[in-house]
Amino acid sequence: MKKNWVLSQESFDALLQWLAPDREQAGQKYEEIRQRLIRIFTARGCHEPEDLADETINRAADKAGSISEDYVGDPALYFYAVANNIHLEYLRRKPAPTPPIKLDESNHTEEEFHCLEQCLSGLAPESRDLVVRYYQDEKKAKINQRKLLARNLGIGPNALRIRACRIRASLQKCVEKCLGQHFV
Amino acid sequence: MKSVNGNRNNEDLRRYLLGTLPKLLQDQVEQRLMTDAVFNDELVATEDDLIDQYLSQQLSDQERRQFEAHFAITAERQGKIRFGRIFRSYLDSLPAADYRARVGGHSSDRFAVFGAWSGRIPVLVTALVIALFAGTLAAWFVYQRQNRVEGQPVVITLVPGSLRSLEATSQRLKQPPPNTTVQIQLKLTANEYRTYQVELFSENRLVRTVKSLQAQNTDGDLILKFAVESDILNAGDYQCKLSGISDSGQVEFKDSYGFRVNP
Repeated sequence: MKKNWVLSQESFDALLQWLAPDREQAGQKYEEIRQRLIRIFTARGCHEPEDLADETINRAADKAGSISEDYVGDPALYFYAVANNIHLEYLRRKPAPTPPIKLDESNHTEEEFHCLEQCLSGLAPESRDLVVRYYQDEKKAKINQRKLLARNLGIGPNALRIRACRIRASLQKCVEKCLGQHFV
Repeated sequence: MKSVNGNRNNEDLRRYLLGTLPKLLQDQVEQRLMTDAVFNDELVATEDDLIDQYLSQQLSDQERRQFEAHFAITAERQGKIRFGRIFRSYLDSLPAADYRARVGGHSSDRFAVFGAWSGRIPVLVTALVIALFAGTLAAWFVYQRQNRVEGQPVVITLVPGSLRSLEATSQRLKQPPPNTTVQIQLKLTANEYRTYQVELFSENRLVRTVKSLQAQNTDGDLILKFAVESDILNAGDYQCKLSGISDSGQVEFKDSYGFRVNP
């Protein structure tokens, strides 16, 4: 893989211009594309998904100025095509297989529970109620609970699922911040 | 994209995350991930589901191996797993819903009684008991199924009033069958808030809070509707405490609605 691709200011500007005429929107789109590339490289089992995503963006940005005018379709798909090349190069380097991970099953500390409770109490009451009720219970009781929640909120099951997932993600961030470290 | 639409989404995303989706479908999923924000949200939600299923031992052996060898390899996902474990422990520490304990208790009692008798009576009688039991069970399942499929939810409409006035009102409900839904409708005297919350009490014990309710105009009446499982409604007196949520987020008490569940 050609290493040390450097993203010049000119390339970066051309990239943003290609993604959206408004610079703020373009910045958002850029971040979305980066996150999606990271997810894809992660799902393919790559060890360094962030590095590969950045490499993809740098390489796509390098071409942005010359292809943007004639390119038809969503630019995100061009990034995807570049990502496939980057992934092939990654595989050619024959990265060492990752050994199966022994997941941490240690008991939780008082501090972790304290942080979780603190973060839960910092949520809006509706969000707190939703995230607890959505993930509580098992099997049939859980299914019934979710149906009721969706009905009471007037939304579909998929919208409820995504809403609960977002609250859970914000809760995780809050707990990590509270603990002053990442759970790794 | 046909192959990853509808109900197949979840299964395809699960297999994608576990690394078992065929290459062709994998490409389709990834192209959609690059361009579809909602599909991305679904992927993240599927990650959470997989983590919860892993932590609650609900994955098959094969899925479990794939999860550990393929899914859980990045720091980000290990962080999610660790958080999932903490969150799950917290949820498990909360009091279980009353209805779950009751349903579980009934079912195990029934089998315990059967087990105690079965070792003491002759084979022929045992066979007869089994046949009767199976018949009863089948009838019970049919009844439950009909209730679920055909049965309309039980609906009760309440007007403001304290429990003391119950004797003079018709705000009574016959105990609904198990595994059904009871729709409670509260009549409002005025719609002063954009959203409301209702707290349902049984003998001064809070059994349910329902939030973000909005008033609806039904046949000229202002109504707030919400649903609860029949299993939380035992015979006894109940009170719905209605509060409005002000624009500043303050919870402001409005009215009480009493009703009685008769056996």
